[in-house]
Amino acid sequence: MTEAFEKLAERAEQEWAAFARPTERTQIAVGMGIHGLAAGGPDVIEAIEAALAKAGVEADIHETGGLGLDYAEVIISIARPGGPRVYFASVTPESAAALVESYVAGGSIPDGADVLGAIGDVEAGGPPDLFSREEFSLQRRVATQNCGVIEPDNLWHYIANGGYAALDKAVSGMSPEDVIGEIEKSNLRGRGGAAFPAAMKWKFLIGAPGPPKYHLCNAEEGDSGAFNDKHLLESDPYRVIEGITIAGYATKAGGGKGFIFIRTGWDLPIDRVQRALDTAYEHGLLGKDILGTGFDFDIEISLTGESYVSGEETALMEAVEGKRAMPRYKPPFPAAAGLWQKPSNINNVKTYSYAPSIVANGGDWFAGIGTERSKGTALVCLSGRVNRPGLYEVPFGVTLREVIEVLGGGVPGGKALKFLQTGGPLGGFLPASSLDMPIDFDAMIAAGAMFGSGGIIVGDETDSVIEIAAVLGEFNAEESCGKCFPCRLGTRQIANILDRLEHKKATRKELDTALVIGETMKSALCAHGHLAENPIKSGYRYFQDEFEASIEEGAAQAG
Amino acid sequence: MREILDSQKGRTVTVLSSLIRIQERLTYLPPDAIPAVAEYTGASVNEVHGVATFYTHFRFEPPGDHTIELCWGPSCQLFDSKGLMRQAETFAGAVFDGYSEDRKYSLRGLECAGACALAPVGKIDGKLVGRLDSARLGRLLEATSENGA
Repeated sequence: MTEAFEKLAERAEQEWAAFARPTERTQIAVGMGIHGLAAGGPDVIEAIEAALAKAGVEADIHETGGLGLDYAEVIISIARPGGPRVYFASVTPESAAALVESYVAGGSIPDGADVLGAIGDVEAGGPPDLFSREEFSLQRRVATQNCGVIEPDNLWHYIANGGYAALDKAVSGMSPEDVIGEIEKSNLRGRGGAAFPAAMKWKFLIGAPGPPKYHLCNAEEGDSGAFNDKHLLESDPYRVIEGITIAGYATKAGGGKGFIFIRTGWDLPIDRVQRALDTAYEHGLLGKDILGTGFDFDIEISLTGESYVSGEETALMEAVEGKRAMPRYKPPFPAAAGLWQKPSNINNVKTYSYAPSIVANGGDWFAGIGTERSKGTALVCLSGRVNRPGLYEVPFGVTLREVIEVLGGGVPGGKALKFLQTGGPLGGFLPASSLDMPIDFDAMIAAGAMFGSGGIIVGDETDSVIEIAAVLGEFNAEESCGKCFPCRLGTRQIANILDRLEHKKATRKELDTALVIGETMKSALCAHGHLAENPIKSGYRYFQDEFEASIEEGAAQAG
Repeated sequence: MREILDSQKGRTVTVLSSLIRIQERLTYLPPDAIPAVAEYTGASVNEVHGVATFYTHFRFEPPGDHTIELCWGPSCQLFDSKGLMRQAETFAGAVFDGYSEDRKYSLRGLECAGACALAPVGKIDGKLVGRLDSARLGRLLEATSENGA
């Protein structure tokens, strides 16, 4: 252990104890991830402040990120001096005031309070262990370990929960080759959609000349239905920053730089990452001579505009350079000539965020989680027709049914599940009969869908596949960057025909055309063109009846 | 304009970062923004214009007094975001990605607001709101007209 890290860890222990196990002042934390924000978190904070003033009680108010139980936001936790940290669900400004009055001031949980559970010294007869809940039963929280538990931009909270031990271990006792060796053993595959082995990419970079070499952390999460990148950045930004720093060390990118690439307007993750970066610099965890070991590495935020294709790796580099986000020809590959034509590596937020755990626990540990070829955990963003939409981290191999029924609590109102839409706008539909499929990169691609960035949207028997396919088709047409004409024109034609199918105006010839246009789009430079046919193709493959009915109805009306 | 361009937080200054900063500060890109960015970054006016029109969030006119944004992503659509969009259009007297005639409202469709678990989602004057329904949207819209500009 470096001397510098030993000092940081000491202070972290004290700061964390004051927050998690207070002895004097009550500590209140409000879930302020994006779902907490959308559920009215700021109003809850205001109500807590007012109620504390009214009751004449003193307490500290903190913001945490999301626990992943997004359906239950606004979630707040209260730790009274000497007591456990109790989590409450579905808090409104009114119920927050009641909690302050009876629990913060008097120690008794008010009637009707929705208690999620407790962490810390859980008392017999008191609220049960938070993580014994059904929603956590199949989860294995690795990347999300701290989410909803720590203050996101609090370096001490991160370090006290194991943070930066991996970077310290790497820079003080491991060679870059050793670090890549652990990543290789872990079989970590990229989480941005393509599932390419991370160690292989890093090896390309280690041999490339530098400085400078660049690491590009892709947080351009434009996928509709996916929010796990933003979740990690807004709930535990240091983990991502540590992961990029470890990758910088492992690829001999010292003296180079990392960029966290994110869309302007995502203020919550941007602000938290910026504060985390500033603090990391302040304490010698970034910049010159990291932890006193002579390793230099910088990280800054690179803002992009609204453009889905800017998440494609070569388009991303164009955007960081400030140009239009259009893909480049490959080769040369980024490791040879990437950002500003210098050797570069691009990984998704989630991929980088696994690096600290892998280095700390060893590659074999990570490889022990998951399936034969999909190792580790999957961050599932569950939304649509489920009782408990949210973000769940499960080992690969858990089935779609388990995620939806056990974690998500099934489909509301006793309705039957009709379809799943997975993998974002370039992903596909799956029928109810695929529910026993394990979450696995390769199994899902074989079924014509993809795990992609982790979005799973559930539709029930009252929902129309065509209507959702039309939304995705429109998205893909709007977001084609326009560089390759088969994609530029093809996505628009598919979108128009889906719109006509939705309004029962499409002919059979149009449907047939829409189903084959995708073949021509395979000639495009990037995955946007290659995959944009997926919504209509998979929709038709599994829900042919719905498409046929639309055409027949249209023909009858025209007839 | 020069002061705004000098105020960029990131260390890497580009055409895109400069345009983003101007819109952050002024809420839109006024006509003198493009030549100013060209001069500042050494790019041509054409290149800057190309970047400004490529990224869809850049605006060339100031927004209305109130901005109503509703998400039309698939999770929101399952909960009838299209119906909510029609309701907002009727209320504001404007169509999506346009302005009301009196410039009181601008309406903007969001591809995904990132809070899919609380669909349908919108932003009213920048404030993110989830679990919308027709009644709730109606109240939020009414509140904007009461608050004035």
